[in-house]
Amino acid sequence: MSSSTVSVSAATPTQHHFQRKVDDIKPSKTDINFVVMDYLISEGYPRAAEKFAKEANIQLPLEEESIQSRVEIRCAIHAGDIDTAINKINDLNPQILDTDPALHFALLRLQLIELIRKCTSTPSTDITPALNFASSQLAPRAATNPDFLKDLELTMSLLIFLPADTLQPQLAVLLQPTLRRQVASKVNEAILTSMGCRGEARMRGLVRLRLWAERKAREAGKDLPPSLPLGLQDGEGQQNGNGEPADIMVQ
Amino acid sequence: MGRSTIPPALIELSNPSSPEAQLNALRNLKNEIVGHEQRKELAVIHGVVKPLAALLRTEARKGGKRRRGVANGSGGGLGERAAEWSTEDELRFQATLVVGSLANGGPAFITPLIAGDILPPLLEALSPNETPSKLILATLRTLLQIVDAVALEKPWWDSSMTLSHTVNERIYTKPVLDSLGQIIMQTPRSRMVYQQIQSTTQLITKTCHEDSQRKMLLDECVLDLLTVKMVAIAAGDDPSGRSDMIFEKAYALPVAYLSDMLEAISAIIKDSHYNTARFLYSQPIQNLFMWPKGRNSAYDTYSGSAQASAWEKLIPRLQTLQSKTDPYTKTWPALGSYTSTAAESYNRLPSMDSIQQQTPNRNVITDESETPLFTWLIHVARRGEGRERLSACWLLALLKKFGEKWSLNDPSRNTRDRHFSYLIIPLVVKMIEVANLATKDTKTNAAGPLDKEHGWFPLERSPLVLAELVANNKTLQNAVMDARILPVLVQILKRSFDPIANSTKPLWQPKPAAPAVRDPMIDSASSILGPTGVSADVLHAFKYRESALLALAAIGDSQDSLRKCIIEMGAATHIIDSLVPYQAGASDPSSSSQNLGSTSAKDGNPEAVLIAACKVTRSLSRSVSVLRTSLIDHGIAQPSFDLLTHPNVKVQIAATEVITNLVLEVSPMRTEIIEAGALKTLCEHCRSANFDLRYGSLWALKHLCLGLPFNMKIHCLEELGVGWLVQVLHGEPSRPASSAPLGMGTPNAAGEQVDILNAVDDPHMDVDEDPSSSEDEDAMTDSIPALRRHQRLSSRYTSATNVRDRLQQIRNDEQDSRLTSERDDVKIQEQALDFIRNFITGLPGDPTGAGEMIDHLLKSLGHSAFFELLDSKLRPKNSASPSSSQQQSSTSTNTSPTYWPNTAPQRLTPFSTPSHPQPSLSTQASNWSAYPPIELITATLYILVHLANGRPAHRSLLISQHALMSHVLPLLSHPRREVRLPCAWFLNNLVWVEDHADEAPTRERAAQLRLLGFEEGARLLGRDVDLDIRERAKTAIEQMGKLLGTNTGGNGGGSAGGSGYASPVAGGSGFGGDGSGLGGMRGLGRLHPGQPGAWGRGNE
Repeated sequence: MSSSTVSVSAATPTQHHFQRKVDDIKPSKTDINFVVMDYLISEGYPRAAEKFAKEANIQLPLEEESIQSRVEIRCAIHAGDIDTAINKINDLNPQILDTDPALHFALLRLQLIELIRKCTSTPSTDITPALNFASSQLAPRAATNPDFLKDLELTMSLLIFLPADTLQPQLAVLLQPTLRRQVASKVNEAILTSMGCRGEARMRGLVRLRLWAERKAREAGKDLPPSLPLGLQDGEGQQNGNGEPADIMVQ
Repeated sequence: MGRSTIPPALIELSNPSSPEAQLNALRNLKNEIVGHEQRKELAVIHGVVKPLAALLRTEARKGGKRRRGVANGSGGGLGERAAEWSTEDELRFQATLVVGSLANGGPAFITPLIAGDILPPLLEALSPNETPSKLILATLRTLLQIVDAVALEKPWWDSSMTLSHTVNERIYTKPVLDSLGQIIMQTPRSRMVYQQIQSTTQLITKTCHEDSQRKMLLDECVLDLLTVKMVAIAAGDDPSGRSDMIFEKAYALPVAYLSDMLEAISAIIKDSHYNTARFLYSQPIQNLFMWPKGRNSAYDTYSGSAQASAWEKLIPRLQTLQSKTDPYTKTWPALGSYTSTAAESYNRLPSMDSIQQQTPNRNVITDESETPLFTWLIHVARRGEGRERLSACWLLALLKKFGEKWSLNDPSRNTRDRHFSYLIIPLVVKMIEVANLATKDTKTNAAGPLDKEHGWFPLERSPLVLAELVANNKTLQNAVMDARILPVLVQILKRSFDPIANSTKPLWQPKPAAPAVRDPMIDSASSILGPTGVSADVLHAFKYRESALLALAAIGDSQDSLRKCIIEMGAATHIIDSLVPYQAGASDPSSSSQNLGSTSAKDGNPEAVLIAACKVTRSLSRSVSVLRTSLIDHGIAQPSFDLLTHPNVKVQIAATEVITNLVLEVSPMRTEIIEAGALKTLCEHCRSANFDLRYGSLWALKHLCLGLPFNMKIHCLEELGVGWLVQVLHGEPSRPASSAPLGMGTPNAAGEQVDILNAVDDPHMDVDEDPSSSEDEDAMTDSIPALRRHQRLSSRYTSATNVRDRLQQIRNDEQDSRLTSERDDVKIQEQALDFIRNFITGLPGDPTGAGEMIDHLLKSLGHSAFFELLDSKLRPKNSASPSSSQQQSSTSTNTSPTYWPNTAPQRLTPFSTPSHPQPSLSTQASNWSAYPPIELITATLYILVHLANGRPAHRSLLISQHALMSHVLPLLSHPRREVRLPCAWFLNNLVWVEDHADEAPTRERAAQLRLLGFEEGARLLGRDVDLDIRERAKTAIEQMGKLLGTNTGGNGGGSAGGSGYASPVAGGSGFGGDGSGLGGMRGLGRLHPGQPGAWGRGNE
């Protein structure tokens, strides 16, 4: 597989010669399919993978025991049910959290945020559960690492400000679903690595490679079109005729 | 921690109400303790271990019963799991996970786990026939966690007491290895099986450190199974595609698992040539990488085998062996380091060159092929990155080492260095650089555990690979220098002393821990934490410190210029720091726990680092100038000397080897070390039960003894004990010396290891049915090297008997206790003889000292006993009339090519070369083989040389030993130069005229010599091919002629009359080797203070 598989770009009316070069390259369908399948499996989309396998007429890779658990764990984290997620991770392989305090801390902090969210949602609720949780679970670990401590302090300050309509950006971030997604993706990566697989989908690496190559090329003053969109965002994906990788990514 | 669920969970565990409740309790317990040291501790203190072990045991029994007889679910997919996964299985699974999590707490937790007998049920759960595969994987992981935790033990503990010893003992049992083998054997159908195999290989890699373990793994076929798996992966790379037919793709694991395979294989074959041979000659390797049987006839020898060239496509072609006549070479001479040492490194190269020159019409640029296995590994190293690359290089380095000892006419030997220096060394160097940079930035431990492992492993391993690759290989050493890696290595070494930030801060506790109220019901052994280990960071620092030291030692082991470079880089300080042993609290491990997080020079080093530091010191001290400047400036003497009395015998040996170089006469540290009492210590060590220590100490004493004042020497001999010395000289007491058939396994006259024991059934000489491919071919000049090579290969690798015999031979060499003790005996006798020689050597300023020493020696040992002893080292073992052999051998004395460097005759054994028999010599060799090993002959002859250098009376005494003299005579025509040279000196000394009054007795001696037939012998030497010998002999002949008043017959005509007296002096000072301006003294007295080259102790 080569980087060319993602070097897709918008067709401009007057074709830049670079664009012609791009068009000349015929990426192998198998390679693209492989990358797509790899993405689906790594990121944990078993049903999509199944469908894609049928569509593209390729074999589903070896049955992967963890994929279902990974989906469940991801869902749990996205839903804010961190306790379940931790239990499931520990069922899968307790070593993951045992040897990665940072990840464990991130998960516990997420759990704390959920607790705080819950007990501050109504003014009357008791905040003791959150305090208890913080002191029993997070505080001991926070002592081991200054970063943890900072994170914990920040999180605890939510107790003071919530409920509030406007929060400082660094606090607001804590309440956004992005944080959950970040942690979920880290967990996914850790699970994959613990099984001896690549931690992330190859496609991510390819995208980074492309960006790096573009930057290098521009630094070197190569003749490139002014913009080389990846075609991954909805807005810019409209006019490009290529398809599969972009569409899948958006899924 | 008031809300901890641990106590209730424990109660439930010990008194289960229902399996489900028990399961819940376990789950909660697990979630509770994961990532929380304090709670783990709490759980152990409350006695979790016993119930866990009980649970695992009972469930294992139930599970085993249930499953036995059920169809063997080889691979265990989802189906099986769904069908059979029961609450009991889940219980075991959870319990296993809990154990793993406890083990993650470090070595402190392993002590109670072992005390609670948790290992046996875990190890029982490994059999794939009886255990569901999910459980096997969990068990393997838990075992890995235990092994990892055990690795964090303090490295300076007594090895027999350690946890790792206990754990390894449990793992290395037949049933466990059997199960591991079965796991590896499974057809990889699912990721679960992949992971099982991977975990198994990791377990092997992490636990296999000792020879006994390697042997077990070999005996239990684990190595074979790993080889099968590796070959299955390799088959995917076979460019010819042939292997698709032979190897089912189904057996192949994904390439990602290759590095673990290679690591495990390396762990098993390391330090054992026999294991390596078993790997190389195993069936799968033969099938894939060697020539298939049926193909020999279809060979197109000129275009090369299709098979070989197919593999060669994987790596770039290197042009090698360019003929001098080639215009290309003239215009573009080969680059850099390779040419500079090629000539010295390869004795066989010139002959190849000349062969090619004879056939100028052929294309003179030959592309030398590697053996396909090497080619593939090089390919893997070039293709892969990180671990995969590193493990391939590591295996290559180990295989290369094997190839150096047992070359077996491997055609690739000649070009191997070239391939390695162009294709492998740059990779290794790059890895070291990258690892250095990568870990430099991440001093903080923000990185996740995996990043850490990925960053750490290369830093620990890559210098080690480098060390293994370049040891004793100048070409590769120069290639490394060209790559400018030295500064990086020194930097790595330096950095290993940086204080390590305490990364394992304790968890914060909301309440101060209440003094644990011990429940008397809880088993105490399994509920008390053991001592904590070191932090992983510290251990890591120790490991890469050791690796860097070893790399430096290997780089500097043979070239002075490189040693100087190492010193210039400023390595000396750090080397000295590495020589400091760990002291504080070594005896009281619990008190040293506060040192947990820090490592600095003053904390000292574990044994492995000490040994590595000794090695590098030894390498560096071989350079006289380094010895006299940097090493003394840094005060190397004291720390090295202190290590002599280190409790660990391996450290003692390593330190002795350093001391050996430091007590040389040229060393400025000599007095300091002697004053510190080295003499006594060394003499004590000479009586050690450990052979290596005995041997090393005697060697050091040999050096120490040279040039000591008279009374010190006598003290030394007394300390050592005359009786002991005589005993050693007679041979080891335990050894069946006299009954051993004719010096089995000892080098014959041609210096070859003739294994007489095996020669009876002659396993390695004539196994090739095809006479054209027999090894005699070596001596033939086949006009087409390639053709010759291929023929040999095809015959060599396809004959099963051949392989079997080869293996047998390697095995005998390595494992036969008689052979090794025989070899050891010769080695130590040689040292003892050398010791005597140095003992009777006079002081530089005091020529009469020699006479006194000789007198003293003769008095202590007794005249007749001493001469009989010397005689026994010179005569053939069966005491057959030696004169006949002399007749026969006089014709072709010098035809034997030397494959070994003269610098290390005492290290001949590694070349034990049944593979290089010299047909032209074989007739004589049978005679010479009856003689004692050549090292002993030479050493004895030098004693004679020095005896003859004593007082005139000693010369007369010598000549009057008729038996002895008659046994010296045949040696004058010995095929080896090393033997003839001392003979020439001996004669020379015997006819030396001390002063005017001595002239008459000397005349008498000369007459006696003539009577004994030495004049004829001297003439023979006068025609020697070797200039040195010839000149010495000419002087002797001339002198004899002058004394006896007869014409010398023109033999000595070449040298002017007056030079007769001068030349011994000149020769002597030239020969002293150190050129330290000792002219004026009687030259011969200084002849060869040690063995030639012996003082820079060879690298083992």
